[in-house]
Amino acid sequence: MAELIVYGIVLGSIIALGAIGLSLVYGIIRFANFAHGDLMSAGAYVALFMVTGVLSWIGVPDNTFGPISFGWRMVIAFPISMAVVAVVAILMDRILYQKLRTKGSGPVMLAMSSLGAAFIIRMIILILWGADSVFYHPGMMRMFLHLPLGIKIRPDQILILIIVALLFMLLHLFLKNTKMGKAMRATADNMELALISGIDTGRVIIWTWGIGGALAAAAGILYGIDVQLHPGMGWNFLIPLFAATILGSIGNIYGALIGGLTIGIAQQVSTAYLMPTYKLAVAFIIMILILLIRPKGIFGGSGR
Amino acid sequence: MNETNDKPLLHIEKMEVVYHNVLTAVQGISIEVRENQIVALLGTNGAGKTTTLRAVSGFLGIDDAKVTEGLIRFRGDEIQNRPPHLITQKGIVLVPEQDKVFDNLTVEENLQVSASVRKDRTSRENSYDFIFNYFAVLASVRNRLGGYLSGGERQMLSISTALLCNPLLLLVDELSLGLAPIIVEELMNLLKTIRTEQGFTVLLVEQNALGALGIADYGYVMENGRIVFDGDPNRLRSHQDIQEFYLGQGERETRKSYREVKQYRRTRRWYG
Ligand SMILES: Nc1ncnc2c1ncn2[C@@H]1O[C@H](COP(=O)(O)OP(=O)(O)O)[C@@H](O)[C@H]1O
Ligand SMILES: [Mg+2]
Repeated sequence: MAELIVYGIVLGSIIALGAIGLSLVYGIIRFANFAHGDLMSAGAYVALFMVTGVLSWIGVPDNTFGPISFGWRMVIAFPISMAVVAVVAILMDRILYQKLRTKGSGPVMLAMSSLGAAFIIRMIILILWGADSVFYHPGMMRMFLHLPLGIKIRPDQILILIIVALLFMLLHLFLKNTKMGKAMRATADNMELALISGIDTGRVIIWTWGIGGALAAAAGILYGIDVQLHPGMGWNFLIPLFAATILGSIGNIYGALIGGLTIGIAQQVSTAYLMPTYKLAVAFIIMILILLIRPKGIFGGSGR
Repeated sequence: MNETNDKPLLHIEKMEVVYHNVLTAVQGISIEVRENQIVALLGTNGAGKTTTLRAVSGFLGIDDAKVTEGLIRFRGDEIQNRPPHLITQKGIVLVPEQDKVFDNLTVEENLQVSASVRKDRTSRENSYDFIFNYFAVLASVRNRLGGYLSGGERQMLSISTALLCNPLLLLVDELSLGLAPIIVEELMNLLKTIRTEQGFTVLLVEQNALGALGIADYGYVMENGRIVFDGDPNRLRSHQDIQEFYLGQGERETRKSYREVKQYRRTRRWYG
């Protein structure tokens, strides 16, 4: 059981990264971006393209760091993929959502068009890489560390937790201390007052998509390192992402972190009692329960 | 209206505003605001005061409304139906009726996000400390979240953030709404002091006519989307109908008879 909880925390931290981005976007632009999961896939596959393609052609060595399943190639690919997906997310907004917003389309139209965007990303991945599962480093022996309480954990997983914690800290400091961070929080709080105060909400929206996209890419890569890559991986994350976002109160990044961890643990622990294929149903049931009992999430106020 | 040769800072000319293409909320009103004046726009709930301010500040679009006729001139430029950020850039700043502060930001952060727009202006650069000279109480709650402020503190913070946008024209929507009389008086006097010291112009919307006329240089009374009276504060204060209907002095006497109300309707037509 202790082991399932630890795996749940690892999965949950990945869900949390995605949910934070989803939550940020919802907080400011106020629509459910169904393409967010596929941005995770996009990040994972851009990193794959770097690791097995570009970086091998330019001769970056392929060896891995000691007990960890990746090496310099991934260290380089990781930030590049985050940047690429950030740009993809910003372009998606410019080309698609912003046009719809200026035409006065409501949140339902936007959500529908994001479904379309999700399919397009998945199709591109399918066309370029095929439908099979792949690994960043096929044939890697997966070694385990033995911790007390009979917990087995891979060094990769410890690293995943560290990376998520670092990214979260960075985001926290950004939102708390920088001008753009404060402007983002202000805009999420009250778009109209932000306009009155002369905040450049156009720039805020660009930053929001950029950060959301970059975090999605990171989540996708980390999942690829932990498990495997698959064209449907991001799509399958959609329900856990939304469950975590709603659980943590939409628009609240700290809530999204707690929500992500909760959903991750619930999913993994459920495998002790249910078939693993029911994992997604567990997230779905949690989401429905929250919507019924506490629609504003555990961190949501009752007013406004 | 006394005619002078210099152009008013803000000139609303025969403006009509329509919501959702069907509902006419403001019908052909004209208002002039001269430099360094405090002009009061008075009227009961639903008269069209907020609509007028939102027309000037450019926020009608958000409510699916439009200026369908007439003009709004600011320093000679037509600004009707322009997007809000262009209007803010020109120096027109709104203190809104509702949602006036960022609830999830601290007092200090509220000031900082507003201060950020002034980076290219030379005066008072990167400093919001002068705010605390006027509103000392804000200094003592600078780390409190906006959502936890009292009504008076919210209003002070809202005015402060507006001041940080370097307004030429400050539009204040209901300074007194929901506040205790003693705080209203303090805020009214402060607004006048700040206006004088910082040198800007104020268009003040109020249901509390008595308070507003105490600091105003000129006043307009609005009802059902029309201007029904205008004049300097003394003239407005002494006007019998205004005393009864807006200053609440009629209520001390017997209830208005139907005839009087009818009489009022008739006189109103004269002004409308
Ligand atoms: N968003 C809106 N949609 C439709 N009608 C509105 C809206 N806002 C105000 N109105 C209408 O415009 C008229 C004037 O309202 P308002 O300007 O808010 O008055 P005031 O500020 O003087 O109380 C009212 O009849 C009101 O019903
Ligand atoms: Mg109003």
